[in-house]
Amino acid sequence: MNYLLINFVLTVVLELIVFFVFFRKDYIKIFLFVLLINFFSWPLAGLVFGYWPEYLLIIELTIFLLEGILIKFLFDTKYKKAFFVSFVANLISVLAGVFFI
Amino acid sequence: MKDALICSLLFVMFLVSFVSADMLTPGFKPVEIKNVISNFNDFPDYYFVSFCHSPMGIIHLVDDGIVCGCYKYSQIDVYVIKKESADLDTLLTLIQNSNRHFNESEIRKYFNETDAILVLENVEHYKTVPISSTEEVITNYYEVNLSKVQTNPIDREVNRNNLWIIYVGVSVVALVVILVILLIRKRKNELFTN
Repeated sequence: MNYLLINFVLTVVLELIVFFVFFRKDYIKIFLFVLLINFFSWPLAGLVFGYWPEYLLIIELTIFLLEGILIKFLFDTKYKKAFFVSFVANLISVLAGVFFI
Repeated sequence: MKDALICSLLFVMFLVSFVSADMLTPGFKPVEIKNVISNFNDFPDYYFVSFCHSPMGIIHLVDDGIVCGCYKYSQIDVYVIKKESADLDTLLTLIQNSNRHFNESEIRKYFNETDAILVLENVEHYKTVPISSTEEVITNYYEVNLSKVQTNPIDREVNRNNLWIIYVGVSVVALVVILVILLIRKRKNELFTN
């Protein structure tokens, strides 16, 4: 359980940094939205990964798409920027997971 | 002096390799695996012996059709020995000896002398799954056939915990909150435009 908590906090912190870089205003709103997006996507990804760990890439791609859509509507931005932010945020959190945990 | 240092370093590296072999991959947990021979009672004239290969080998008498586990990197095979050709005392002594000092060639020699038949090969007894997995206990069922070596169970039962309820619950709540935020925003925008 501790491992899951550390993993979640690390994911949120890393994604927050990415979001702060791309959306440089209203930091509290960004923080709440990133938290909400991760409360939605992270448990789902964990659950599916628990069943099919061999499909990590497909799971990550799905999460990237879902988060991209949520970013587009929550941050009221263009699809292109939303998917780019989602891609960078997820890439960094996956790489951190692979190399540091 | 330099040689002694290199030797010590190599020795430490040798030890570390054993330590890391026993460590779990971060983010993964072992699940309990039970192996059950479902038609165990159909063979009252046979002893069932589970044989764990080295490293850390050991042999056990299979009791009530349940195959005992052993060291995670060992391979478990199950042999049957006809009771009339096996002396139970010798077998028990061999089992006791295998606990103290494992001698694979001695066991193989005994199996040859008693015409032991290999019935289950490479029985799954160790598995790791992601920590987020809901798997708790896996029970594999085997049906022994004296004329066939089996490697896969005929049936498998997976007991899961209720962690999935938390995962799905948190996700659904988050999605509902997101949808409510978007709806409120839409209403506000409509009010402004009107």
